[in-house]
Amino acid sequence: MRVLLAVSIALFAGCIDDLPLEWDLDYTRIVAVRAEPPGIVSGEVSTITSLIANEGAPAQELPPEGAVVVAPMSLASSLVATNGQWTVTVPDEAALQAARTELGLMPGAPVPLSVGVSYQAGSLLAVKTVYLGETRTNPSIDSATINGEPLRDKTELVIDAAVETPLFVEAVLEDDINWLTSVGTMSDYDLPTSAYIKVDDDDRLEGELALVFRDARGGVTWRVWPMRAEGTPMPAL
Amino acid sequence: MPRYWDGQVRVDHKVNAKWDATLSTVGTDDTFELVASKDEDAAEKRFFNRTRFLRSTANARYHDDGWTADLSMSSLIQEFTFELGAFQYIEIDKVEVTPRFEVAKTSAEAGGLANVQWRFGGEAPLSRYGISIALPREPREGEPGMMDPFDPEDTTTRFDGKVWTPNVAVWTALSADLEKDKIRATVGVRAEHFGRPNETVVQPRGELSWKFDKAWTARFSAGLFSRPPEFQSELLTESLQSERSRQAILGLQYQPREGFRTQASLYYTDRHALITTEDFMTGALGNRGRGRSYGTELLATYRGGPWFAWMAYTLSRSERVDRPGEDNRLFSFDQPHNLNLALSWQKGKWQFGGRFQVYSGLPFTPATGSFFDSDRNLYVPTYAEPNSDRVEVHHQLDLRVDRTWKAGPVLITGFLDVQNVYANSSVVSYIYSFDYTTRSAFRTIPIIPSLGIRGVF
Repeated sequence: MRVLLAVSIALFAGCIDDLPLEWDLDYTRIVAVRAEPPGIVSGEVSTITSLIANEGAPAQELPPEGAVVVAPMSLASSLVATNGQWTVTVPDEAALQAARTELGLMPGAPVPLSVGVSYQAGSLLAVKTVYLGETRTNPSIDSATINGEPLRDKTELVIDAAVETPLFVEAVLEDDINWLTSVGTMSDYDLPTSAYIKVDDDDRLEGELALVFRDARGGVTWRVWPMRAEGTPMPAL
Repeated sequence: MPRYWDGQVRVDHKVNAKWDATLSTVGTDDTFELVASKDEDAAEKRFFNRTRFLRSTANARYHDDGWTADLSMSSLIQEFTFELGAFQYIEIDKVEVTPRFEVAKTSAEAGGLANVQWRFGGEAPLSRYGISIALPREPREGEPGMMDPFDPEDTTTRFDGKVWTPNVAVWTALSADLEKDKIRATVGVRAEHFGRPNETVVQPRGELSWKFDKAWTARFSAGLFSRPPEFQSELLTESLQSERSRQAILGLQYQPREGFRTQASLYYTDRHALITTEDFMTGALGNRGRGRSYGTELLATYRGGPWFAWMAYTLSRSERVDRPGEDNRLFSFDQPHNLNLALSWQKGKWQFGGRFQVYSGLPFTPATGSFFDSDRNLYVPTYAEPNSDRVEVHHQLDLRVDRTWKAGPVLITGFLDVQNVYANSSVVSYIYSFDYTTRSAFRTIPIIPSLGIRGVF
């Protein structure tokens, strides 16, 4: 959508130089932060993990180097580091009710715990919300396909560089879809059923494909596949 | 493809020696739609804008023995639709009716004064807005807007209803020579009532000019002005009052002969009750901003034989405080320097012209960093002080040549116009990458040639 805005502005008034692209997996950043599960009730534990994209290297799934509760501060002790993992636990009902009061929530409402995470000595920062007092699950991406073939069981992908490779995943309008790659050029990276990869002769032929699927209830699921393009790429325009 | 329809019709009729009548109408219907995807049904990638309006005016003018009177009734029907992606939109339909009159009486002498003119008038614009909005909070002047993280699902500002803005204005002014052809004064007052905030403002205004030498004239004018809160989201807050300003201008004109004139002026505008965001969480607006603009303007024109030359320079500063206790900052359109030079030369059926302009770049607010909001899938930027940086100076040269000839009853003019002939592509502003780590210069179009032909019957 930012691309849409930039195109609109450029049409009306002038020219814009190249900027980093959101679908580029060969660009160092935090791609997504996951709480597994995203909503928990008393006695349950949620674990924080992130997908980190790296320039010139494969993407990694890593626990935060550092983490801190951003809000509400009365639940700061709900987040703990254990054996290299950052986990969230649900406090007693009195503490939850105090947090609801702090945040102005109705009695019994799930309490959003905002957790800040950091990587690479604090140069990469992100926030993620875990919901306390309500069970929530991360979404499924089992419906995802590449070229019409299910992605679920694939461990490595090979695409034809001479043609466009369509991508598909079932989603509703409120879901947020991101297809990312370091092979070729991604189009409509944020559409569930219209995304495709096109490989130009100046593109990388070997790298990865990632799918990040967010739902409207704070759930997120991702998967990364090694991918290479074979055949003769299309000439770059 | 964008589609633009525009049209206008005007009919003038002389009723008799004292009355003239005019009927006019102007309208437009412009549509622009863009789908940034091969999938033309992708609602998430759709941008749509449609603007339509039709303004019709009936005007009658009376003139007799020093009296003139203008009576008019105009109507405006306007529609504006903007849709971005699958969730965000604004639709406004506006209907406005404005009855207006103005009467003027002039006389060579009255009450011991010369060249006297007395004017009085009134108008009552009555507007009804049908508004349907689902948009992010609208940033106010100077608040980072386009650089904010774009969340396609953000519809923080929601409204669906009708808003009426019944306004009434009356005014009167008296102009006269205090010393014939030397000292002339104008005093007047405009009173307005803005119906939605139920607010009445009285705005005295005046001007004094003194021709103290054959070639020299000095002028001083001052007045109070107001602007009702009727711009976009301002309509959604009924309690908002009008923005106010006080303005004073001191000028000096030198005209040694016909065709050559220079003038210089100093101005100062004090603004208060400016509409600013009171609460960034709720987006509530208030009237606690204030600001000021001051500067000087120089203008010189020369017309002699085939030559025409024009020079204008402005030195100015515009600054504001958004809320009490906050620091001064620049207005978003503060432009300290603005120089325009134009020259044209006519020879027979040919006319050659050129314009050179150089002006300061506009201020902007640089991003200093960001963090990633994983659930919203967007980066939230942090900013330096508002408008604390400025883009580079812009300069350009435009050239134009016209050739005129007659073809039967038609006077035809062909022209070649080249704007920015040396292709100086200046920075207008900066666009940030999705994670705010990189910014790209948003530049002007380097060169714009145009070839045209115009026929006058």
